[in-house]
Amino acid sequence: MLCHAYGEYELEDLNVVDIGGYSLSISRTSQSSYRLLLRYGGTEVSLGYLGLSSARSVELVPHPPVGGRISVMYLMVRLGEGITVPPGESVTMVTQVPVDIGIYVRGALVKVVPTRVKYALYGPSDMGELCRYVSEALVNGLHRCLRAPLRVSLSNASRSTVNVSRVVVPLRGLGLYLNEEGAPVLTSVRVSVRSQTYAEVVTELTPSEEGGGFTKLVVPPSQESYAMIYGL
Amino acid sequence: MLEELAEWARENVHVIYRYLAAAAVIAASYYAGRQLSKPIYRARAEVKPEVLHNIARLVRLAAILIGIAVALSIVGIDLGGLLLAAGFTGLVIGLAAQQTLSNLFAGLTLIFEDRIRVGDSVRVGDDWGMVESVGIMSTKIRLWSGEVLTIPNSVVVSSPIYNFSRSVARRAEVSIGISYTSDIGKAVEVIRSVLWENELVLAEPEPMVIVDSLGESSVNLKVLFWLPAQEFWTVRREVIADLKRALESSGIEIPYPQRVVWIKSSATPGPGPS
Repeated sequence: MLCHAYGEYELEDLNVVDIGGYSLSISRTSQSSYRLLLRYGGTEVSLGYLGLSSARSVELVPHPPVGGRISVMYLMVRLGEGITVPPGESVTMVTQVPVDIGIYVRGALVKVVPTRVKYALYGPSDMGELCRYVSEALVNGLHRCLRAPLRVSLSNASRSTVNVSRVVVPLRGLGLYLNEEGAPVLTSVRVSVRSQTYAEVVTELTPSEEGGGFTKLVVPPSQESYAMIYGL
Repeated sequence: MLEELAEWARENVHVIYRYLAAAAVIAASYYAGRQLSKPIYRARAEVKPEVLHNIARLVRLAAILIGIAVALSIVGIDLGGLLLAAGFTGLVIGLAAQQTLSNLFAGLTLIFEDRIRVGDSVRVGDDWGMVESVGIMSTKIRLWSGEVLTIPNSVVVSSPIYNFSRSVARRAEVSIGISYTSDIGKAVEVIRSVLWENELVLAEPEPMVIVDSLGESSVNLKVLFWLPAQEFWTVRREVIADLKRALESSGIEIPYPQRVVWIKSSATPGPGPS
């Protein structure tokens, strides 16, 4: 099992769980209160307190990326230098996206701990959207348990060749599976390009990795769409 | 006496009916105005509450004015002459109440142009604060120091208005001077690294580090980066502190203003005109 750190933990006075270099500590501060801390690369982030009076265990599960400190609804995926797609052509690529850590108590999600977070602005500063940001540089060096493949299927429905360098994905539609090794796999995304300044992005229900050996659906996906109107 | 009154009533019954009808029309128009404006007050349209409020007031006023006009025609008053008189009176009032009307129209401009809304963080002229209300005549701003400032709408409209609540992100600008002996390339690299490590410094639009000028005491760099608007001041402060720490720990000097002074002496002549 590659990602054995995910799973259920009996609560003690101090639990420290290391997931790919991100160390999550859950320390008891009173009979019914636990403090959450995340440490990584010399940084320590306080995640607040968890009030648990009767629960005796928590489960740590990978979770699709969420907003973090800023509430955002979209994920901007930077596709390196960009990809050129002639009219009528389609292309499929797989990119890596950081995943967060979900804390479940008795099957209910109580907190999502963001891991590697950056933000970006899509569109103008007054009408655009703040997005969680993903690029190759951000994912480089991240343990496999803290990143998941995201398959992006691009089709160019316009009459001219387009260059796509970023995709804005609605976070709410992303689902997450665990593969046979317990590593996270996100559900895929379809992008239909109508012009150099307009594309429709739809989250799909299928996982981003080929093959049917998925052991667990952790977060169910849904079909959500976003119209990229400020360019690709 | 009663007989005389009854006689007068019999002779003028049609006049009494007309006045009663006029009063009834005015009452009905008042009622109609209220009934028409109620759904506007309660409407859940995607417009600001102050716009709905002012539209409702206008509808009510229009209904009452129509009622008064109908009532006047019922009692036999010539509306043409009255309108002429009203026009003249309006002109006189307009001249006398120029400032008031100016504020009124400025208020309507503010509301319909949607420049500022209640709750917006704004700077009007030199005053910074949060909009408390946008009225027909004046606008109230709660300054960051806590006082409530009431500004006539004509002043608000003619002042430059910075509305910080309309942006989801803002660009910060920080100037840093490094010594002439420091490596510019290394300094730029350190600055970029600090900006990348701070999760709230936006990755896009990409931060920029510009060699801005060669100053008297330092090479001046300008650092431009975007931040989420709601965290602007907090993160800007954090970034400046982090930049100072990172530059110092990398051996890049941020110099004090300095002067090179040559002391002229006959024994050891310095450079320059002798």
